[in-house]
Amino acid sequence: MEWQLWVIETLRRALVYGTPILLGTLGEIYAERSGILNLGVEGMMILGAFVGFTTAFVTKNPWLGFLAGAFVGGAASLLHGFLSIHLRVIQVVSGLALTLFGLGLTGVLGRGWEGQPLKASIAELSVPGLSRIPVLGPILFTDQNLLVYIGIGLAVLLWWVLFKTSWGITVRSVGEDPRTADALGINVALVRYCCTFIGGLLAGLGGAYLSIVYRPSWTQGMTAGMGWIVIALTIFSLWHPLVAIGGSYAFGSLFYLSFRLQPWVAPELLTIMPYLFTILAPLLLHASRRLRRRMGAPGALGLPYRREEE
Amino acid sequence: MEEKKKNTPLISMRSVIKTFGGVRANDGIDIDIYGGEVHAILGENGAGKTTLMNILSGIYRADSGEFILRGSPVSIKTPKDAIRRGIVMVHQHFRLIGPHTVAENVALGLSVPFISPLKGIERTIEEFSARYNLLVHPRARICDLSVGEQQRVEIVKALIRGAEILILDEPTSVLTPQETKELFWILERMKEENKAVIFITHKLEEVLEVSDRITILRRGRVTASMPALDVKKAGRKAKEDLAKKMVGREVLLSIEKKPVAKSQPVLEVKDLRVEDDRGHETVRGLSFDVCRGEVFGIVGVAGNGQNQLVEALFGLRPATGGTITVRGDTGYIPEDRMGMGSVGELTLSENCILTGYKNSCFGTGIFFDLAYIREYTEALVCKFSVTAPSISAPAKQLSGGNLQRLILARELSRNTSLLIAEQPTHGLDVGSIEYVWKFLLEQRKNAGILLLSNDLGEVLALSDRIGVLYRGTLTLFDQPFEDKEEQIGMKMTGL
Repeated sequence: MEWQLWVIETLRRALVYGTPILLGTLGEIYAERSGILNLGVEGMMILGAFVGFTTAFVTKNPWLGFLAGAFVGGAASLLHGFLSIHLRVIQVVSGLALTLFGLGLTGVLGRGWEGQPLKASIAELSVPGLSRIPVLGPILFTDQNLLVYIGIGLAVLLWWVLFKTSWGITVRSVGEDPRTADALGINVALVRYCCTFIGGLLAGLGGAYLSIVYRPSWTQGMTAGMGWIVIALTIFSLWHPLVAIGGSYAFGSLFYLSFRLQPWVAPELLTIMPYLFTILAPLLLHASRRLRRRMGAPGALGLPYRREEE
Repeated sequence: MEEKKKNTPLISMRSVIKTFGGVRANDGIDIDIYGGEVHAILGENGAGKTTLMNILSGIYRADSGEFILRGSPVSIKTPKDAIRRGIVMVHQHFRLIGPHTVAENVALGLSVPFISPLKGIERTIEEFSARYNLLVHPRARICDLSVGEQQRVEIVKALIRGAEILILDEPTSVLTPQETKELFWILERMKEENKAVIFITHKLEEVLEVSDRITILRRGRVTASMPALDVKKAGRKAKEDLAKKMVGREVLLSIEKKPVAKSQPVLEVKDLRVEDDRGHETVRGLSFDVCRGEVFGIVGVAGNGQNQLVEALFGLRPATGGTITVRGDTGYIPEDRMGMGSVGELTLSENCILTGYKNSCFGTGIFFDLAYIREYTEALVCKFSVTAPSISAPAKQLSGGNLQRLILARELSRNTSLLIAEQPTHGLDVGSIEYVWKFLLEQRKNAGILLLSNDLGEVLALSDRIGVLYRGTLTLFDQPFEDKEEQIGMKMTGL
């Protein structure tokens, strides 16, 4: 019976670890669906983590921390938006700059905050009744935090908006073919700003989750490459919010296992697992011709749009 | 006068000027569009037709000029303005989103309900399809549709947007003769409903067949505007008259073809089978040969295996069966001039030696003889009348016709034993077409030429033998073609 407990615990913890990845991925899916490749996820997450932590620490209110973290992420994304939508710089460069900027700035500002424990985290909760369902109860409804549910809820909401509403058609069209959308009277720049901003908000929220819930403290560089995993996972989930749920939790379980398997496997090997998988995932995906054909990248991903240029 | 009989024009454009980087694309254009008319705008490439229509549909903004809609001045600054006033353009390259469904494409930009936006649209599409006899399935994905079907989607899209003035940019260039007939039927239907259709083209026959009024643009100015009836009165010479007004000189549209002695085959293809990206076999057991001294013309509607055939001939795509034997070198004039035929960022002279740079006359070892290359390019540019700012200008600055002349110059001067020309005159104006044809016929003295085109007129004019490609199989026709024209046309559509 012990292995069953193991599996259940791994899956339960996968939800906890996977949530910030899910939040970031959902945001990046929206940005990329509108045609904006934002490699600044890592930077937006660390900014969110830092501002989220300090806000929660000072106000003693974790929810204000989440709000502030999300907002800072959103604000940072607008910088990328301005550079890539307005000035039409190469999006890869602008995104990388944002990542380096975020890591650097928080490194400087965060020195005084290192090692201070955050007391104002959010409570873990068990859903009465539901937690007694066999298998699913202990995984989904025991000692989980509210953000896990918010993450899943957001994924479903964002999927619905993207595929079932008129705005979703607009977003996907702008990402596939901005010229067509423009000719039909869509404000391409506005849609792209909105989607980039959504991406920033969610990356910031994911960062704040790291420093408020996952490990309630501030450490320099605490996102530890999660932003890059998000970018890989965006491809891996075929730019689809519901697939992102599964992908995020798969990565989440890898994170958890890298701790739990330490007595038997070299910890260095285990800590590279999520990153190794990040490299392998797109490769595996690329190998599947059927998948690549059916759901390729948005047609105009990473390409700036200018109207008077045929 | 006819103008007086009609009421005010649906829309008038007055002294429209648009400059692109020092070039006046539109130089003071006046034009009146009336309801219930098909108004053809004729002109060579670069005459400013598409620019003018992009201005009318709000994509470009004119430097100066005014629009008068039903007698009152209006401003059209964005595509939205234009659509709101009932002006919708169907572009030459369709503005459709391939991975999306028909309904999603139609719904884009319309004020549809936020939640379940497609429900109402799907019904509306079916209504319009029935009214105009356009068969369009709302849930089909655009990328699965044929070009003709995609055009129908574009027209439905325009009609649903309440188009009163429908602008069609080169609408027939991608259609089969049958599809063209269907399109003209739809245009008649729109005329009955007192809508205006602006028909941009350089195909003269069609202009005479379908239009009520003809305006000719040349170098950004209106050179003539007249009712089509006046032209038709001129009878058999009507075509030549129009062509003259377009290009400013006489154009030979039926080219003289002197027979050339046929010798040994330079290309032999036996039972060739090729699959496309999706794994469908689109070339199904083709066998043919091309001999030195002849033009073998393969004609067919786009998408019947032409691309896969050419890619297989060049080894860009593996053949799944059969053999290809080439004797000697191959020259290639690709359909995609900008993408495959030239490198836009490189200069004219660099582009001129792209396919022959290893030839020892261009330099020794790793060094180029730049002086010679310059001389060589200048000679080519001169011989093939390429109009370019300079030979050190990037190739992307050339217009379509001039770029094609440059590619032609490069490939013909290599004197290869086989020349593959894919849609060599696609999108070119009458003057350039004549030019390309003349040089291709000239070249068959030293080479075998494989011509792939979906323009039956071109294939009939140039070929010594014709193969009709339909769904990956060939039907061969030998000279004389005069009495087989209809038969070949039918074969192209699979009848």
